[in-house]
Amino acid sequence: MRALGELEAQVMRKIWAHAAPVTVRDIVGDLEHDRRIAYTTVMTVMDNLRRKGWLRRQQDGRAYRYEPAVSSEEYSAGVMRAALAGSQDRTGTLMHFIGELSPEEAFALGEAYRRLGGP
Amino acid sequence: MTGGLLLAGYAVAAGFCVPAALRRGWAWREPRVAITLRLALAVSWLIAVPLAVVALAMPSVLTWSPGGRDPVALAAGLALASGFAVADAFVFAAGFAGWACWQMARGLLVARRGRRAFAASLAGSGSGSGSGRADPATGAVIIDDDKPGAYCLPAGRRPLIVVSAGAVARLTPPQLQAVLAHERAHLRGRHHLLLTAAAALGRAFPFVPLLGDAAADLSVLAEMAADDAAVRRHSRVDLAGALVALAGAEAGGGALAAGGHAAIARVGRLLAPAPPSGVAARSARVIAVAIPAMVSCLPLVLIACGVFA
Repeated sequence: MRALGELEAQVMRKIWAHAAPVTVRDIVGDLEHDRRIAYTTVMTVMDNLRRKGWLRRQQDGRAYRYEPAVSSEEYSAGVMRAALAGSQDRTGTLMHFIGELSPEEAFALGEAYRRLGGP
Repeated sequence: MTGGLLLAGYAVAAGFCVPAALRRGWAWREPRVAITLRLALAVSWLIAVPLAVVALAMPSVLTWSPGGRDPVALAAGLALASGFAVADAFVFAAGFAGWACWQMARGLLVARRGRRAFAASLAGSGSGSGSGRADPATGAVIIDDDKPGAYCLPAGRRPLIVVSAGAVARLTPPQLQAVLAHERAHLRGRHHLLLTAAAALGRAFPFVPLLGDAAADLSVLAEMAADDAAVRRHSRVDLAGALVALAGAEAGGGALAAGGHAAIARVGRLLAPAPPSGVAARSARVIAVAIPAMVSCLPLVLIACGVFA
């Protein structure tokens, strides 16, 4: 999952905040609270997001209504996993409680625990 | 024997021969001693090598001379010493020091940038859209991820402890508290600095066992030291149980996180601890630091006696 750019992320967050499919006009209205932004800019961004698979759209009269194709939880988890994977080489970036164990190692660990009297 | 030979001998011994002794069973019984010892050896080695090279090129500086030396004669002696050897030695010493410092700075900077980026992705840009939410009950940040994982993110002013939802689901409350205590111990002990520095020195001098293997050994020792700190207030069984519960499918476990072999050792330490050795352990700690410290002061002592006496 590729990371979103700054504006793309802002737009996605606004769309996630809506419970129902939204038009470009809706999002422009949302964003205008925080910044000056052109309708065409938002339209382009949302179209790009659709082409990249982040949004779905359906025709509603003369406008399109967009809805998320990826949930915000999936996005967050994807970002975390990418960041964690990136932290592999950077010793001391994160200190994991326990490292990556293969299924065999995990089994052996459970065995050791039981053998030593763990409940 | 000139100071230079002493230093060179120390550098060889510390760099190549001693590291094997740092891996024996005692290290896992006394992880903090082992960490301190490896640190002290590494620092003294970094000092000893360039000083040894300089001293070997300029034996007049570090020769023990009970009667002392007349500074003028000494300066003249230095001037007469083989020009090339002295210049080369200083160039080497400067290059050595520069190389070590540069690798260190680079390693620390890269690690810091990585942590900042990670913390930023956790926070998102406000409005609850970040990947994690602070949990007032535990003081940790919970991220919505089914893969069990717990780690700490030393991030300057506000260090974070991150636990995935999957981990919270798999741990009993006492186990979770034990895990949090373990991570807090990492933060208090600044283990991230230790490991980043060790990794940087390992990249700078990969052929020297003392430094090349340091990061891997120290990461295991740091985990054990954090375990020891956590079980001062929490049950050993809980911490061991947490290890078992979270084993397997740790999200992106770092290459130097304690792998299977070390995890089994940690469970063994927790459930079947060696009997505490009060006086012996404390004396060992003192000696462990004193010896390398004294040896690394040796050149300064010799210089002081030789030049200013």
